[in-house]
Amino acid sequence: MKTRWPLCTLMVLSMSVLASMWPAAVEALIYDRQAIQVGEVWRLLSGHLVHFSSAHLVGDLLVFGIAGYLIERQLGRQVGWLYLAMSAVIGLSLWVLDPALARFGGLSGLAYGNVFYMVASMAHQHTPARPVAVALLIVLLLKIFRDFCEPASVLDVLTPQPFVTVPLSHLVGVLMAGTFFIITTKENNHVPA
Amino acid sequence: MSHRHQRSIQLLWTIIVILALSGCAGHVTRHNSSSVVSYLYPDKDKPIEAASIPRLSLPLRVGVAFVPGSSGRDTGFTEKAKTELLGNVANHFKQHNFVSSLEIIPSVYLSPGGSFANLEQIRSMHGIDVIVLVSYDQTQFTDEGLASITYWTLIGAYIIPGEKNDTHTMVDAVVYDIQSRKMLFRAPGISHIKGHSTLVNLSEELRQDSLQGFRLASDDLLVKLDDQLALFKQRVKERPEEYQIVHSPGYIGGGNVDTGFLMFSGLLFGGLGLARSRAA
Repeated sequence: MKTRWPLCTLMVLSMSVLASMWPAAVEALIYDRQAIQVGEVWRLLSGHLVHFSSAHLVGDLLVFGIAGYLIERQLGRQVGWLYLAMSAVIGLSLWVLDPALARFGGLSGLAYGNVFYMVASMAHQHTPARPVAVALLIVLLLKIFRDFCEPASVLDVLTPQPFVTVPLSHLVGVLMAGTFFIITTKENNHVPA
Repeated sequence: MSHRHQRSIQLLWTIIVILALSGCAGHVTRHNSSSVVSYLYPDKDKPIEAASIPRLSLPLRVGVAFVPGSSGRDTGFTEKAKTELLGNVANHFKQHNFVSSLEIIPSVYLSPGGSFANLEQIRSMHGIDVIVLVSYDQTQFTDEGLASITYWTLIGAYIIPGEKNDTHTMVDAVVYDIQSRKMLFRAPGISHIKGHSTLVNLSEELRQDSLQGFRLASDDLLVKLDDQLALFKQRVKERPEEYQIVHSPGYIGGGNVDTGFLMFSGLLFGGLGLARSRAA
């Protein structure tokens, strides 16, 4: 089903703004390893809505919002499942693969996923822009790979921001978006007998 | 005794008096120092162990301390001044996000020639990973110039200022990763004060110059620390094989869109918009 208004994207955007404006919500929603351990599992999903500064919020929402709007026009309400899947798998990955991480917040994993989905769709279409889209896809993957492998990403802690960037969230977001893209493309290509 | 002979004796006496006075009051050198090398490597014959690759667990727990030094004579660099300097260095490090805690280590915990064994004790006692060892070297020269000779021979002790006092100071901060025994970086702060005083207030003047020298050198040190820290960050990025960086348990992480990804997305969205407007 296609929709005119990107309701799912707007919902995530508005929840992120509200969560970041209200300190009590930040404490209730943030990914907090200790709290998750005692059963507050919703934080695996809701942690993405929390941001640590205005710059953090604006950067994440800008990219997530524009890319989300574009892919929601294409996918319709199905995009809600993509957001849910990315949030859950990123949260679980951080829990399993990064036990030193005490608190986490930020929507960039989903923003990376959205942009990847968008570029992958462009690369999949037989248009004159296809080579450009393929090149962009390669650049994006190389950037994520470099962020993940190089210690420079770890050294973000040396810059004046109150948190360390976690490239794992971006990598998992992109992997989840890629998986979702393959599934939805197969479904759309499937011709009933 | 001939007049010529009398003049020769007078001249000889004058020279003797001048030399004697020069010997009493001239060319006095005051030297105060503490040395990181003497503290860390007291046994010169013992081979130095090679440092291993440091594993920096961010954010770091940092300690700041003065290395034990020679017990100085009457200098302006009192314990209060030392504490003030350590406080300034500590505040400087506290501004950075890569520092989680900063501990000022009292001098009594550092034993002269204590080396890395002493640092290991401090590491366990204070729970620190990295230590900033501050040392100093100050020399005060009291050179007598022509004016002081004139003062002694002709005029009087209170009228003409004659002493020319130069104070050279260096305050050095060396940052060590204790576990790997690797020096991460160092920054020196230096100052040079030219002073003049009469013999009446010489001692007080030297004390003031000493204190001022330490203050100026400390200010210079803080500036140099920033420069060296920036170079160190660059070195860590360029030579990842030499420094292992990990996160301390309990760190705060964020999903953050960086400048590179913002530019990438901006170009992508801009290109798409342009393509659509052309198609329409």
